[in-house]
Amino acid sequence: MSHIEVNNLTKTFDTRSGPLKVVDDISFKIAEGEFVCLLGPSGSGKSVTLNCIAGLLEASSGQVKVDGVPVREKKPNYGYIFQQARMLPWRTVEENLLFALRAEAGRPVPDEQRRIAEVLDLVNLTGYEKFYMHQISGGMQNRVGIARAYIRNPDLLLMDEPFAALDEMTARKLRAELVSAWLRERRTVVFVTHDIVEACYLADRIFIYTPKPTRIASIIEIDLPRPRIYGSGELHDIEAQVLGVFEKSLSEFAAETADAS
Amino acid sequence: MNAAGHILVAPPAPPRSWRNFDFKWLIIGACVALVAYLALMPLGFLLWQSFFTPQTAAKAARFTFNNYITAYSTLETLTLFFNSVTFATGTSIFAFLIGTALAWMNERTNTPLKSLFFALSIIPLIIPGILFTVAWILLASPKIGIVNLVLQSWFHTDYVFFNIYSMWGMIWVDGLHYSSMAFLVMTAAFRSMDPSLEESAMMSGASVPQIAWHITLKLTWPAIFATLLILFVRSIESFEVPALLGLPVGIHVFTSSIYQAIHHYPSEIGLASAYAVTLLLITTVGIYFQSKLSSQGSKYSTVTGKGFRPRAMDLGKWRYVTASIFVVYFALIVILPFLVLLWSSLQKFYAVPSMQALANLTFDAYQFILTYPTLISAVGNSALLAVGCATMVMLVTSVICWIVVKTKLPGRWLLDNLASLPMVFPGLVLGLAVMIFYLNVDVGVYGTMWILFIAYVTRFMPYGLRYNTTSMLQIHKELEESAEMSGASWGTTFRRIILPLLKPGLLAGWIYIVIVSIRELSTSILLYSPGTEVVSILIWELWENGQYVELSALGVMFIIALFMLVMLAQLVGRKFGVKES
Repeated sequence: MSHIEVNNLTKTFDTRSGPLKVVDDISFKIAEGEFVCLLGPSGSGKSVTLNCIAGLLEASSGQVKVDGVPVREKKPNYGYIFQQARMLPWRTVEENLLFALRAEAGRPVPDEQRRIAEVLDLVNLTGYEKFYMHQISGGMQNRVGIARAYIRNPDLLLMDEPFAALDEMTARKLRAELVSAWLRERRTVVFVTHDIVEACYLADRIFIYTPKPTRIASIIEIDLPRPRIYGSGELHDIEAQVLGVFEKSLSEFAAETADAS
Repeated sequence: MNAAGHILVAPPAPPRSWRNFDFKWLIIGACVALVAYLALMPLGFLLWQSFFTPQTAAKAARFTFNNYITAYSTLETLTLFFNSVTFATGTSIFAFLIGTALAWMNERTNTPLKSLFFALSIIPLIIPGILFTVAWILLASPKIGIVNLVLQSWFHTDYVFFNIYSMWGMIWVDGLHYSSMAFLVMTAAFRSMDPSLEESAMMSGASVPQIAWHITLKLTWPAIFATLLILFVRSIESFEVPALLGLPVGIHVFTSSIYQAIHHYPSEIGLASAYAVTLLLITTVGIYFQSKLSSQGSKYSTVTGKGFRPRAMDLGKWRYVTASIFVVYFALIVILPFLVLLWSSLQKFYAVPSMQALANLTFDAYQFILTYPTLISAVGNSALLAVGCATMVMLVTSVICWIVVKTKLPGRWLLDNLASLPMVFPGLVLGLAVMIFYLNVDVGVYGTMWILFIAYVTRFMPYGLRYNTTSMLQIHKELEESAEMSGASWGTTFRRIILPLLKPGLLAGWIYIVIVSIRELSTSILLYSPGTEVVSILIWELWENGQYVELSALGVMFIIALFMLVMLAQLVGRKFGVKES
């Protein structure tokens, strides 16, 4: 499993009205097999951090290392799960998974059928192999997305608000599936979300982001057994703690902007 | 009681001003009638003429199939068809490959200087086709072509390396000429492409060639096919290249054959019409499928990329190779043609560059051109036609566009199609159709500037419509409604609300039409008469007279003038916030 090291990461975007600093000098470490949530309001740079880890974006300064290797030099063996499933609409469920399987080698790999059956079983989609994306529901598409991430047997799972577009019932089901899969395999997970309940349900540690430019306001460790229970007293206490940090950082942010102006 | 009654009774409503009402329908009616007239009359007469014998003073026109029989019974037509299709296919594929490769390098790699290249990519569009062709004759003709001579002296041989007077030569020149159009279209396609699927494939570990093959190609194929079709249509209707390069060695295509049928004595209008109708059929099919494809282009677009642009590929050392490809391309398409024209314009008689010829540089040709008897009138005619045509087109199509986009008038789709109809007319065919019409309907237009004006307005109507539609779609109905609620008449609303809001689009379209009408040759070539020459016709005449040196001088000045016009237009555009379309 992978471990991650982020040192003094800064990301600036060039916009029409000058450079925009989205991530401001953050550093953290994530251990092997750890489940970490990046939690913050919209536009706080969580996804940017994730994409810097994925190598989709390049850091303006600072360094991101996965397994001790700078991401730019690394051949990614990650599973990335997007908010929308981003499946190829002209391929069936099975063919989409085949694409991911063969992507790296560029040719058929051994045990294709078995591996596809396995991951589809994992996300409860057995029997939907021949369906196209427009024939299955949004929640199912998300599961195909998760299956695609798992099928390459990645050491690291990067998830960018994967359940944000789903209804709460479906999201709860998928979260439970995610947790039970994680308990079995203990892959390292970095999970971006703006949902406090979700973060508290899932994570070993929560990194709470401040509004732009992003810094990490606080890191909260959750030492509760899994599967956790929504609405339980322990979980509620932690949610309150997270909310407290949020409100503090928001008022500090307001004070800072007031000082600046 | 009485007083209260007075208050309650509304004053008698003034009769609805008949002038306002009439005015609206008068303008709309006039525009509709004008569009229908411009689009349909020439087409009707072209079809009619192709089935009739020419009308003369002695004989009335008679119905006949002879034109089509003459056209289709000979083996010549088969070769004509074959040549046209070969030429157009070759040109479109060549232009497409160059344009796409350049667009990919420009959009998806980290090639140095690429933003400069993009800024320069407008320049090839400025150079008129006839000058580009002449320049390439000077560069690659078997006897005097500079490229041939240089290679021959290098290798001490008299082998002819490039023969521009051949099918390959024609494809080379026309393909290069249209490659900049392919570049712009494909750049737009690459830009509007949704990167989300590529990203997810990349996260699955797919390599760049795999992503290109399985995803990028799959997503862009409607754009690819539509671009190929429009390039095919543009090249099958191009006239300058086949006329200058094909005719001297007997390679005939439809456009050059139409020109020849009219220009040899006695002219065979019927035969020309039969060819023209055939060509029209081909372009109509092409344009039809092209518009079908472009409208379903977004079939596979899924989610819009979340802010991050597709990242540029790091080419490593190869980026210097791609940068030099840019430089070579720019040299082939702008620098070499311009330099060879400049060189030729400074000679007394055309001579290949040499130290001896360098000593004989002279401005005689420029003096000749500047004192050329018809120069002043030709420049005046060109300017008048361009400005008049652009203004007319933009105003008329703004009304048409308003009807099509904003009203629920029954049959407005027909109006839209009518105004777009001239799109399928090759310039030469339109010229022929307009010529036939005004030869038969004597309203005193034939032989005057008006016939050119009418032909230009018809030809550029679809462009005006497209520019106006883009901006009209962005204007919301609320403003019009509130103007109406405030009591403004339709005329006032149109003049005070719609036209000002359309201004950026109007201006951009106006500038575009000015530039393309100044360059226009194929429409004008069958319609001009002594006294109504335009600048591009003047160049054509110099070519026919064999005055290459003088032609080059005129060409150099023409290119510089057009260049300055475009720069001015961009300056004005930036000032008024014209959006690039």
